[in-house]
Amino acid sequence: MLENIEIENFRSVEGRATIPLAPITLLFGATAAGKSTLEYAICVLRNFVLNPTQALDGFFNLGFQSLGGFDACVFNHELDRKLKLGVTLKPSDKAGKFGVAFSKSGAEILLNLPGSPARDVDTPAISLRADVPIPYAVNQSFSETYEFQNIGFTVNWNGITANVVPRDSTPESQRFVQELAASLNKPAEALRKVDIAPAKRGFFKPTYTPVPLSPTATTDDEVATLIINDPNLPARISLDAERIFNRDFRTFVAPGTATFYFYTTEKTARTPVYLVNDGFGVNQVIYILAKLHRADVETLLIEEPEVHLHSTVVRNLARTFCSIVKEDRKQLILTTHSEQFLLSLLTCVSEGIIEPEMLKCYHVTRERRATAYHEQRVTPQGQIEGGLASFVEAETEDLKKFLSIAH
Amino acid sequence: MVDYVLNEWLWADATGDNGTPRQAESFRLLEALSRSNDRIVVVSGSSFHNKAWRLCVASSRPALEIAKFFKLRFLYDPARCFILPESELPEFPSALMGIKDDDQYLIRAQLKVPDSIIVTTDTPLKTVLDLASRACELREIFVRRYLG
Repeated sequence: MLENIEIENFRSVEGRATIPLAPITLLFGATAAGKSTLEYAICVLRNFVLNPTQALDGFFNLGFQSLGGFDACVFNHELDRKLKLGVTLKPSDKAGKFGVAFSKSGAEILLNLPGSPARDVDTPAISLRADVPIPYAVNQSFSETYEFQNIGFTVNWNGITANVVPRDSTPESQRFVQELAASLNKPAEALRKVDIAPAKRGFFKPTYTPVPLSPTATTDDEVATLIINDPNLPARISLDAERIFNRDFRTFVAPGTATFYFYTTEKTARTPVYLVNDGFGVNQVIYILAKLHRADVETLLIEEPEVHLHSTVVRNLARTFCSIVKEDRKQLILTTHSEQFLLSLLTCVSEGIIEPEMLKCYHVTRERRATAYHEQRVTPQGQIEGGLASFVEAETEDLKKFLSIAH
Repeated sequence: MVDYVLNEWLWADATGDNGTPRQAESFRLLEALSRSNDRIVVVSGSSFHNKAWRLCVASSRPALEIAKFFKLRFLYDPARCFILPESELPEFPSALMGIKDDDQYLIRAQLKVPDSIIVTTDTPLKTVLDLASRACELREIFVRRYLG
């Protein structure tokens, strides 16, 4: 699970922002404040880990949306700045921080494992740095030799993957280096397990046929293929759809063909309809659930999950997310414009469905060019420090006018 | 920082039942409180709490928006609103006579939150509380003082 993300000089983030994350992290704030920037930062980093052999601008193509390359994404288009992105994992993962500083001339990759004193786990402090050209063919090795608890070892790292070789091969040293290599590789592995449900999502036709999957599957054809390829996915989606919408979700493969259909059935109406003929709110939530229940996804980034949903459904969705996070140990990073969605999550805290530390809320603001992330702590009673003034600003102004109250 | 235990006059004003000037005043008061360091004490399930929620389904637009303002600026902000579960309130002191059952939660809340001030429109209630040396202010005086 990602513990925090560092963003520097990316889009509207000037300087370094370190944002601690929780099992559920919720970003709210004005339009264009920089909420999605946090999600996109993780996507860019994931792109680098998945395929460092692409040109610099390729990392800023998120599949569902191209951000326009490095020049468009570096803060204030100041091309001499380094655009730095990094993630740190939870101490319980016995892992450290992985980061990349992108510049026009290449990339500097960093991998840090803070070691026992800082993290209260039995690991040595490792600090690796690699300066590589972009595109990077992953063909260089950066080696460092260490000694920890009387075990000598060498870390060989190509900027993405590390392997560790003991100086003297004993059963104890072999076990140690295996565990250490696993720790060093965890941040990159965690990034590979990130997926996104972008604002542009849903299924737009009644029938699908399997398509080849890209590493960052986001089109409706790809997500439909994910559903039909995983025998567990339709059942999991259906269980949640019943909780959220009182509908079940089924797939049907036409005999002797590779064509398949998605159906939903509202339980009181009992008339199956193609998913594409159901409400678009249902459609886009099925897309989110397909991504959320992917076995190979640990962290899901979701842009505005509440769009097209009635408030009752928003509440059900929030509660379903809490259950999934708690039971399946998934991590969610969400943006929202819905106070209803936020209040529903706070209610889950006050009811004890999730603990307060499982929910982090950020009010995202933008002053002139720069974005700032302000954490608002959640209390066990389901209140939020600082209140939710940003959701009533417009109404307050209208109300003053209506009641003829002078400003 | 002062904790105020308000009774239901706030919602009678906010609904507009007492006229638009009172409705505007109730909103101005909530705005002023939201900018202050003071808190409103709310007992879960009390008449005050229930009337606040009832305002959320009011038919008039200003009342709805005042309800939303109260919900988002107060109820969900621990610095602006101290929510007390009814089960955590001390017993009503038997020595205090002549207080209606419906108003007893105000005194129990005050006992739970030391130095809090009850604000009411009920003059007999104020008289009883004055005699018992309990901090209490009449609405008119409180609003005038608060809004300057």
